[in-house]
Amino acid sequence: MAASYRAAANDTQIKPMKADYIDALLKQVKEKSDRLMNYFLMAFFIMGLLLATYYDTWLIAIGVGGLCLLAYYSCKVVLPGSNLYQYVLAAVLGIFMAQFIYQMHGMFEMHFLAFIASAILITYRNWKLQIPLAIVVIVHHAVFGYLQFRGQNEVYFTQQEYMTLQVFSIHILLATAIFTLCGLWAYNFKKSGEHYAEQCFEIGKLQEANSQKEVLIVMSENLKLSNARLREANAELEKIFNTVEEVLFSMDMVRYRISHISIACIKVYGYTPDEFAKDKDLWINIIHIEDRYCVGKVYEKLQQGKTQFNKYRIVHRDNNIRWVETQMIPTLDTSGRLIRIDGVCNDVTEKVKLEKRLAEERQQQQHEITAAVITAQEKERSFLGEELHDNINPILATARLYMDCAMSKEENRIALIKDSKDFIGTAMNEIRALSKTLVPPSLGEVSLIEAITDMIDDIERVNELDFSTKWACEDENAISENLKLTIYRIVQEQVNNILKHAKAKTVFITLQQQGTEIELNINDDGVGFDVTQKRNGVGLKNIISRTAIFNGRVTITSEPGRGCDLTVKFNIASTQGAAQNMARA
Amino acid sequence: MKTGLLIIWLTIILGSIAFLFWHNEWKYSLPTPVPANYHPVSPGTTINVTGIPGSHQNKPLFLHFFNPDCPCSRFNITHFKTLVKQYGNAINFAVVVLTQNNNYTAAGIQQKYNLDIPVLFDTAIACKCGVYSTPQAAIIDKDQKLYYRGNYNKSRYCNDNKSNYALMAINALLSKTKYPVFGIAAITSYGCQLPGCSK
Repeated sequence: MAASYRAAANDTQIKPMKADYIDALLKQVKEKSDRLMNYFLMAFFIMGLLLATYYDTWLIAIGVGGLCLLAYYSCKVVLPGSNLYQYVLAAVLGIFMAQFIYQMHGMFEMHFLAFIASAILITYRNWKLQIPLAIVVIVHHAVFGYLQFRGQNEVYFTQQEYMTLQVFSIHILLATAIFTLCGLWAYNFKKSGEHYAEQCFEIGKLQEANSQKEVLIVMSENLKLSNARLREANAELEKIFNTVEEVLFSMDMVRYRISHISIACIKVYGYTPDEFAKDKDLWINIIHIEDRYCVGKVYEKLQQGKTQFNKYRIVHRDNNIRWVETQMIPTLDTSGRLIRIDGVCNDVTEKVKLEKRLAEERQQQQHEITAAVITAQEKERSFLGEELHDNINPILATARLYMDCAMSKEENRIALIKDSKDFIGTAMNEIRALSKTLVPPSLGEVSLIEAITDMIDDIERVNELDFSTKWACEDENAISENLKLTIYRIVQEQVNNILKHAKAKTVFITLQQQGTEIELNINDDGVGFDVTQKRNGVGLKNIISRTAIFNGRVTITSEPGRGCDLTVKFNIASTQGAAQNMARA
Repeated sequence: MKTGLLIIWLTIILGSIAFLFWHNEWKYSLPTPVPANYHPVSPGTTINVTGIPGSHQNKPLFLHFFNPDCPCSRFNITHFKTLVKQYGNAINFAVVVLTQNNNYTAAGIQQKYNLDIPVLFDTAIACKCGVYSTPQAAIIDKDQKLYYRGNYNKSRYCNDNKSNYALMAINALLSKTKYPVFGIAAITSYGCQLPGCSK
């Protein structure tokens, strides 16, 4: 059956599927019927055993029944793909009927088993299965009836004499009618099943078509929704694209032109996006002629897929030169060819100007520091010269004079030499004092606080100035020798300023170290001064220049009549490189 | 090849089934072997039935030799009950149980087969009547002479009206007509051997 469907199913693509559908249905019917037959055959066998209890026909029940089962199942096992076992089944059911008739000694009612068997076979929906059953019934009836009719008194199934030809004919006609009807039902069931399968197939196709249509509708709606969201996102992106101050651009390297550029290009370059779109060389023409040399190098790096950062000059439409910073991200295709460059360009002209001004100020500050240092040196030399000339030289001259007198006069020679010796001693003390002011204390041998304390003690000894100090250094070892010396010199400088100008009675000195922060504060109760007025003295300049060398900060708070407050702050971490600064200074 | 072998196999099975049927039929169609020490008892021989219930009522006595364990005995029990029902007024019926199974009792057999007639367990009666198989019928007339001893029917199922030998003998006895000629099929014993009567 399935083969006939397949044969007729070559013209379209759908028919084979339909044939498969019907094949599946028939297979389902076959499997279900096979399962039913297992139960029926077992029931028939058990029925034979039950009948055997009547007349002790155990041999027939077990022997014939067992052989019937053996015939059916062996056929099914050997040829599982064939329908032969179904025909064997039909014959087996006929034999079971004969067995039951025999077991019940020709009991007439046992012949009805033929009709039951015929009805059972309908389940396979194969009208041909009625044939083996009919053959068994007709042949056994005919043969034994004929033999008996011929007067044979040998061993036969029935010994009844009324089995006439007429009775036989009636039996056969009735049995044939039943078998024919059952065959007809089987045929009709099969046709109905096939028709049902075809209808199911058609319904399935329609449902599938409807389902596909529904899917398409849903997909279409989803697509519309996605498009709407995409448009919204694009609008948002466009808004951002044209809102940012940086120039966002995308360059098509296949057609070698700017494909997208944000509206900020008008501000940065002075040209509109349309002008960039129309003139594919505009972007390179606006680069300052002295900076165009780098274009080739940048292009080589982009071809290698490397993102590039560059700062160069462009010529604005208003002919002003502007500095821009550009970041460019290349996109390569699968073959490694550069196909697109996306980038962002930022106007950094103000930043460049600011950096330049800052550099200039630094340079100016450096000059001032250098000048202050030179001035300080000159001052020191002048001070040294004055001290030597006005103080030490007269003492030594007096001592020489006394020595000359002692050499020329006998009397008082000893006294003169003694006086001369005193003068020389005085000169030596002066030189020592002078040396102490010039040569910095060895801070490696004493601590910074001890050095400042010694300095304060010396000053207090010869001045009516009270000092009050507060020291709070966590770890003085963390402070470099150079920074210690700078702090020492700042204290020395500010105390000199106070002594010379402030007319103060009390000075408060505080030195605190907290972590890497160092804060020096010197406060006096002197006459103060106006910090906004320009001053010619080098004292404060020295303090500021020394602080700058160590990247420190100086704060001076003062006003006339209210004393002065000097605060200097250093960060140990930022004093790196101070040695070089000192060397330069 | 496989199909060919299968057809041969099915043919063998079919042949085996046919053989079983034939063998079973053939087995029951064979005469019962005659015991070695068997002494035939001819019709007309006086049979002493003294002591048998009903034998003194001036009626013929019909003895049904029966073995409950013998399939052949059970085949015709229906036919025997028909005879009892039909001729119970004219003839005294009795069942002679021939079995070595001691579990059977007279009351049990009467109840099981719904028989309201005497049930005897005296195997000597079979010897007196020359019976060596079951089922067998023996009719003893009012003069205590053996009138008929033989099979009930040519068919072991008693479904052949033309060979209802026991019935024919009763009719002849009661109607006092000429003793029918039954033929060898009537007097040749078929069925189960009596217990202990094997050759």
